[in-house]
Amino acid sequence: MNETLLLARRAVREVWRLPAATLPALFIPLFFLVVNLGQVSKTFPRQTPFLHGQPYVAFALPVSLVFAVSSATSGLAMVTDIDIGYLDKLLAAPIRRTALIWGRLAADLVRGLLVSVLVLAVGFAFGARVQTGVIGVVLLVVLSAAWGVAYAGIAIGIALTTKNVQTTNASFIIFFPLLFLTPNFVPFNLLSPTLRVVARANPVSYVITGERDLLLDPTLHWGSLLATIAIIAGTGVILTGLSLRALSRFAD
Amino acid sequence: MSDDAIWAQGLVKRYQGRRGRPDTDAVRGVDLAIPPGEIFGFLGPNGAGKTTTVRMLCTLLPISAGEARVAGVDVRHDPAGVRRNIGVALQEAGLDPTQTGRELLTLQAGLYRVPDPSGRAGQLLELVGLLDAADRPVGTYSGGMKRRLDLASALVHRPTVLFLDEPTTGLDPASRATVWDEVRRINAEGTTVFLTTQYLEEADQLCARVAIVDDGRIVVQGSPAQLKAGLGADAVTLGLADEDRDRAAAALRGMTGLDHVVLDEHGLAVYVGHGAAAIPEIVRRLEEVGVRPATVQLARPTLDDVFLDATGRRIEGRGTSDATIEGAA
Repeated sequence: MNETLLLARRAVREVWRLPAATLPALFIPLFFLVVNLGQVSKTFPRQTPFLHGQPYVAFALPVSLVFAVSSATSGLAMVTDIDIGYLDKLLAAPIRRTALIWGRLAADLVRGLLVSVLVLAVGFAFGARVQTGVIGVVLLVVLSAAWGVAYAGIAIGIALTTKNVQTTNASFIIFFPLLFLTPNFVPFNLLSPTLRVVARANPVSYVITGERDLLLDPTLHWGSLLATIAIIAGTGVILTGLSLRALSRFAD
Repeated sequence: MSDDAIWAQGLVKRYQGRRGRPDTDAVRGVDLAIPPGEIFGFLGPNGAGKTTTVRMLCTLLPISAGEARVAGVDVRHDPAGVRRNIGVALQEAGLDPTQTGRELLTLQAGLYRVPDPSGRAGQLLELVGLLDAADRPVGTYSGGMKRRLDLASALVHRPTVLFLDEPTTGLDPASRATVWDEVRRINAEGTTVFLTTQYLEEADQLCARVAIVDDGRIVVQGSPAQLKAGLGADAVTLGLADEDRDRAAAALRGMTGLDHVVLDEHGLAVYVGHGAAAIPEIVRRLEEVGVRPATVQLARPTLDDVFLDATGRRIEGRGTSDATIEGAA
């Protein structure tokens, strides 16, 4: 078995063995979902034009999906390996060092798939339905997990650069502006002009709107889907690239 | 050079000063020539540059200047080649606490592309006496068990050179003895062992040769017996008040059988041919200049005395005394 698969197996085993590292990250997105629904469900009934006849929960669900998978868990696992000295043991082995990052990202993929299914299930319980059917459900789970993988590079990079547990832990805060400077409550056209400009420039907006289209409209919007895929791929290339660079500079 | 298991010349680690601070050299020109099959000790106090040297030799830290070859492979130019040939157990036994001992060794064997990784893991677990705990998470292991597992993890690929950085720091005496036995056994199979330690007894017990390091430099090296013999047959340690030390040292000059005298932080270390016979003469000479030692201690010179002789400081508490005369005067 090659080193990436071996390290991936170890990282995935951690997901199962330390549910406490995954489950608390689910609490806040689900809490937001429930609170938001309680506050605005009556303001935005099914007849609201941007809901296309669906309940508001279907509109809000992508925000929770993206929120739930954008974690600093892999960064924390990496900084823990640094802290206890285990990373040194792995770095002293004759392996391609990039395998250390790919192994971590494999765990993010598994964690992302698991968390997305759970969040979707909660959304279903609150009455959301995926209008694009089974393909839509699969796409929502896969796109959300892929976003989680793409975004994981930021905390891994911070872990390798700062080697500090607290800083890596605090890195999840970066995601708050990225998540809330988006059309998260209402569509682009209902945002204030300034916020609209910021939201249009924010890549996370397009992950949310792409997933939202899968939930609200039975027709597959290829343009929106491809934009989402491109944003996820671009984010992944940039952030994984940064984490790989941080790893190559780690020992200096 | 080409036959040495570990060879280094002028090895330097320089850290660039930040915010206007000057550069600091953690290692200042270390030369090494360690033949295959030797247990070589790198002995020195905390901050002497032991770990930094090991990390450079293990490819975990870039070398700032100088050259090094490990198992015949150039450390700078072929770090991957070095990694294939070495086993590494660093300070604090850095082991993932969530894996079981068996999982950790199987992963390690897989990373080194050992055939039948789980079989090799089983063999090693048996070898280091951890079969009973093999399927428990490493987080539940005692300090001694972790060290043994760490040693086993450094051996999965039967390395030709093994680096052990302070392998017994923090262990109780029984666990320490177990690790020593293990190191001897590994060495008996032909593995060269490079060991850093701050424990004199460890260097004395295990190492064919030791290098004593201080402030990033090797201050003296040789076999423990040679180094100690170079100081004289016996060490008489005198506990003295600060203001009496120079006067006492002057009073002992020219004494019959005296090898030499070194000032230490608590008094004087006097190296002589026959300690028991020399004590009355030492005490008499001190009385003549009005100095009364608080303690007089007679012992064979230890590696701590070698360190004191080379640096003017001691590494840790004094060696075991053969005889102590309290309040002698």
